[in-house]
Amino acid sequence: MSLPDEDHVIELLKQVRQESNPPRQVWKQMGKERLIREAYRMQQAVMVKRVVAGAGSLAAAVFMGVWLSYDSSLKPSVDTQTTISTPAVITATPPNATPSPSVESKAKPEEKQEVGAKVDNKIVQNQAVTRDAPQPQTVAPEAATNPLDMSRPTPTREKSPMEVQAEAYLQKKLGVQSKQFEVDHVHSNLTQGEVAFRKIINGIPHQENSAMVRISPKTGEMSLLLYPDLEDGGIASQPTNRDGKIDKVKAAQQLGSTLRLVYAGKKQRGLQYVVASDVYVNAKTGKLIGQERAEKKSVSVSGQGKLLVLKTSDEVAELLERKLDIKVEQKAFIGVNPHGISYSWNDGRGNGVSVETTDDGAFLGFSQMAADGRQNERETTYEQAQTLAIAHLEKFLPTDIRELSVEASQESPSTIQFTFAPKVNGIPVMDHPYKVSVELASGLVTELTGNFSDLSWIQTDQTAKTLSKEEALDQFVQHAPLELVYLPVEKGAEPVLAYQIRWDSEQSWAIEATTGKVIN
Amino acid sequence: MSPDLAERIGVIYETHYDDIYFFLLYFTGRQEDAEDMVQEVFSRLLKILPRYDGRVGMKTWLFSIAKHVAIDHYRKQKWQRLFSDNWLALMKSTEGLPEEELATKEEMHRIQRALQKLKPDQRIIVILRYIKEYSVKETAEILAIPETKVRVDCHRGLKALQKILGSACEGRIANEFAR
Repeated sequence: MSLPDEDHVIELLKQVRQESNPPRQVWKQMGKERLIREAYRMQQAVMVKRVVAGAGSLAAAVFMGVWLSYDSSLKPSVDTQTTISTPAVITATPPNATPSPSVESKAKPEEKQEVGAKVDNKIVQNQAVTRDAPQPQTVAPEAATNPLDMSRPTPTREKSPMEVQAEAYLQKKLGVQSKQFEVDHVHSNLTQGEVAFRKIINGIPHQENSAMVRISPKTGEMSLLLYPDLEDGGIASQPTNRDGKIDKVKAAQQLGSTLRLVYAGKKQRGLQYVVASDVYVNAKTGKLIGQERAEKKSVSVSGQGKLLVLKTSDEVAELLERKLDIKVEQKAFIGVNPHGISYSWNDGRGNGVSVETTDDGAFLGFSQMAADGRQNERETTYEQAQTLAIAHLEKFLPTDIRELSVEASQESPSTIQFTFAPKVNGIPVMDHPYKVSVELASGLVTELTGNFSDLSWIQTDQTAKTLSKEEALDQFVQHAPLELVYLPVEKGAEPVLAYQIRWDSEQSWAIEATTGKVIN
Repeated sequence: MSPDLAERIGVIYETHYDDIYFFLLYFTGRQEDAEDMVQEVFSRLLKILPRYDGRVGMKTWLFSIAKHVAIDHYRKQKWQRLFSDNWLALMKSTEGLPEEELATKEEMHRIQRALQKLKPDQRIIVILRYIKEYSVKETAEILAIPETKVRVDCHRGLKALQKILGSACEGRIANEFAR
């Protein structure tokens, strides 16, 4: 094969320039107008913020004293006109500034449950809610608006148009077989155009979804994904055996034993009783499955962070060096993403670090990777990883946060990701998680995220009278919409029938702790 | 935020629109996509414009944003189409052209198709160096990579183009024999 001459190719490339269509002027003009309108909107938004911030600061100064950022140059001033990020060549020093902890033993998954007793003395078991003040006072639960007869099936909620569309598509693709599927609200992600379906065998649904219809938000194009592994769990061949299964009341009492008081609620935060997620009741034995997930440890912390407002590449670089001992050279590459702004350095050899802020510059977290990292070796134990995660988090946590709840820890072959919830007077605050990932081979904290500037949740109402746990349990047993499901099992293993709470909305099932109302 | 933000973005838009538009047009091969993407580039710029202190040229900065927009676009489109079916619309009609000119047009057509088959990173470098004719230094600055890497990638990009054009040429000859 004879290849065209290199110079000729270059010549052709130069000619491409002359041959391409020029921009359409009408389109260009429309784009400009749209952009200018956007700029005006931004300016107006900033002006509104200034007024609100001014009024807020005055009020705060009067009532609480003045809380300023740790460095005057980093004060959250909207007027600060500062640095640009340059997309210059970046040479970051290897980010592995954290020495790997000495390794005494290799953790096994089973050891996780014993962690509480062995780890750092900061970690204490805290299953019982400890509320210093005020103590929850007993109030009579409001008369149940809809006393639920547990023998009746849960009323079917109204389906969204997207779910109806996905159902029609499933029917078109699978024909009569589609009758075996029902919309699985819990595993759907409607904003991404994903509608999950769970399969029903012998009248009982799978806990995991078995099919997914994706509807492209842009083009409306649909596609179907079936998960064959879950279909073949030996369930279909099993006769429906409801003998020996515990009744719903017993199951509810078991599941209700995991109830705990939290601050939650996306629209309006309040005290709620919630049960542990990912915990089920074995319908045959009546025992809890995944009970360890219900036991949330408590960790005392001493936050050293102050309000961080980072407006320039230099400020981010200074923060990285001071807090994490990561040295970066030259300017960061600034990226804009839906959450805000990112400052990234990458040396082109696999070492990199990135810091995320909100549009206003409030610190949202960092991530880093080392070229020689990501091995699947486990050199760091679970306890060591948790200690490292907390030590890093403390550098950024506001001093007001004294206690965290270890809500979850997800392990992959190379990392553990811890999810912490801050606590106010011993009560965890949901929806404000701090997540920290630790690489097990190196002990490197590869990611740390959270909202470190919005502390509005600290001012939660701490005087409200709440139901006692026993009263909450009564409410739970009466009203919780339990359903039987097949839990996913390994191939060849006996199917496990279990009770879980049926979710019918994006809000997880809860009891409003001050009124006793059911939230679903 | 500067009170004349709208005015500033307006001026920058007028000054650099065509440059960014052509870059994205060469990258995507579709006029509609390039127009949408150029809007996205200026929208992203607007968001961070208050932080601009002039230490880096605006054009360089815009190109670095455009590069990210182009790669995002490539990722989204990867499975939808490897090369555009809209190339013909970009070319002026070949009807009624003298034979020599027609041959040149066809060659242009092939180079543009070949360009679309390059990996996005290689494509960007080739566009910047050989179509936009930026120097190695400028290209390195825009892409935030060392100059040596620009040289190596340019060389590889050209070799890849030569290979694609060579095999396309072979295919065409085979087709003509088959007629």
